[in-house]
Amino acid sequence: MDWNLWLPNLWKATVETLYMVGISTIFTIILGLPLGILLVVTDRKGLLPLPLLNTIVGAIVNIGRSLPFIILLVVVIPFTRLVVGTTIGSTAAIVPLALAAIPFFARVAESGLREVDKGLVEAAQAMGCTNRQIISKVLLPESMPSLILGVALTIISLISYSAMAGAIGGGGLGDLAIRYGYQRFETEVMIITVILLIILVQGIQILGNKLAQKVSKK
Amino acid sequence: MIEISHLSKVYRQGENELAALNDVSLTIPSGEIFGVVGVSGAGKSTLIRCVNLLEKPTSGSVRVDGIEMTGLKFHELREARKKIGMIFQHFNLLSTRTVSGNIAFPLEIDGISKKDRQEKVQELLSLVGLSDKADAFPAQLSGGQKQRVGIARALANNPRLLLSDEATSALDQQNTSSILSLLRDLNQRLGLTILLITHEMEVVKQICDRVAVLKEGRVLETGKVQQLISNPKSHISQAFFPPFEKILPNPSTLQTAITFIGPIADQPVLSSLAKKFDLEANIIGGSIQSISGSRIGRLHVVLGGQRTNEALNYLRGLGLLVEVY
Ligand SMILES: Nc1ncnc2c1ncn2[C@@H]1O[C@H](COP(=O)(O)OP(=O)(O)O)[C@@H](O)[C@H]1O
Ligand SMILES: [Mg+2]
Repeated sequence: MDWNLWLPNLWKATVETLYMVGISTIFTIILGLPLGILLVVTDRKGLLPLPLLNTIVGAIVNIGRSLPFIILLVVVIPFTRLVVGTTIGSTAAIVPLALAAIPFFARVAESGLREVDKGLVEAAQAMGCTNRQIISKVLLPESMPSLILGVALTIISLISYSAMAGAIGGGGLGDLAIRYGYQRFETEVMIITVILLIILVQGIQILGNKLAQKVSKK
Repeated sequence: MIEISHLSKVYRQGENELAALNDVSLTIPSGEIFGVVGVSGAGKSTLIRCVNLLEKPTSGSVRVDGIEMTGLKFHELREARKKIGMIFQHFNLLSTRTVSGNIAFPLEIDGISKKDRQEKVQELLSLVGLSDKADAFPAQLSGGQKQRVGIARALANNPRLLLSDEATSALDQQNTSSILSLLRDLNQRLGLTILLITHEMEVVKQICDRVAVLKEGRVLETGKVQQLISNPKSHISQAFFPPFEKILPNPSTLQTAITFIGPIADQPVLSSLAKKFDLEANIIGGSIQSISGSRIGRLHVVLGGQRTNEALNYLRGLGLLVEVY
């Protein structure tokens, strides 16, 4: 095995993974969090009960979550072209990655927000808070530890999804492992990429735990 | 201060209807501490939540300071709520905010400037005796301290009315007493009207001027605590002084329950009675309680002798309440 040849490959793949996962995480939070809030707020027992909207959004989220990622990857190709102007490469992979993670994170955020003690919302209402204030000053800060852990969980899922991005030429560590390790029987490459992925996942989880603990004052 | 009339609240769950409140009418005078007492499920929480409309009444009217709460638009209701403080059994403090942050919360909501907020928070901290805990988080406080934070927060907008939903029910004896004396103190110093609900007679006994007994969504009785307690037929009196059992009938003796109110409870009435009418006065049960500062006692006495009827009249003449079994 020629280290000089594929060390740059390893570096490139790592950057691709970080790029795909990083950008799709940002979009996932920007779009998934409001969706999670919407699911909580429009619930029958929520701040602003809108059962019909709640059911529709809930159904869409469920559909998004039940689609296997590899299928989603292909199904959204036309949409990907519309958004980023290309259907292959790391940037193109970001679209399906975010689309898969948004409903996932929406549910994770929803359950985190639901954990907030009903009594706190009631106290805020008794003080004359608007719904907007309740969301921004009560629900979000109080569920922050859960939300941070939810983001870590989502990033880890995205790392795992991103291994399939090779199917549309997205590259990344998972792709490297498959191409060298599986297709060319270069076992060392596979092992090293897998170790890198494990370190990445562990790192994210530890970071998430630390941050959540720091934010939680319970 | 609060005028509740013909208030009803019906919860619907599918086919079932549950009348949590049934035609409740109460008047809570300004400057008083008004207790609503009843067992769990009586509708107490529902009642207090109808006052600031956390719960929407099914019918009836709730007036606070002359304002009909049920008729307010949403933004009017929010403004009205800012003038009504509320404290809770489980405190409901924001865990991610410090004590100061929690107390500042309603001020923030009201758009008060940071500098004014800090000033007001300092004042409230010293009012509830927590100046040294300003930067602590709720998780670092005892139950009694948490409730003090709750009280400070409830008073931030200078309300004239405080609603208390079982505020001492999660506290031990000692903390309960200290929170109750704080409430009494605030009531006297700030002229704060307090509507408190509780399932504990002790709370009524310690601080309430007036009380209503709620059962299955209805008001059984209401009035001044002192008056109710001196009426042996009232629920309040019976809660403090459980009815005496009738003991073995002896035709030559008279079983009586004698209620003493005020200073006379401290005088040796019975021994002088025994001498005066040449009786045997046998105390077989009873207790003396201190209620809102005045003493009320109720004794179960068996009188034996020739002049028992004379003795009873004498006791009544002294202003004691005498019942014969
Ligand atoms: N949101 C609700 N939906 C249905 N029933 C309720 C609801 N809130 C309270 N109840 C019922 O109303 C009755 C009175 O409850 P509550 O006011 O909480 O009593 P208390 O505070 O005296 O214990 C109870 O039977 C309770 O089960
Ligand atoms: Mg209750």
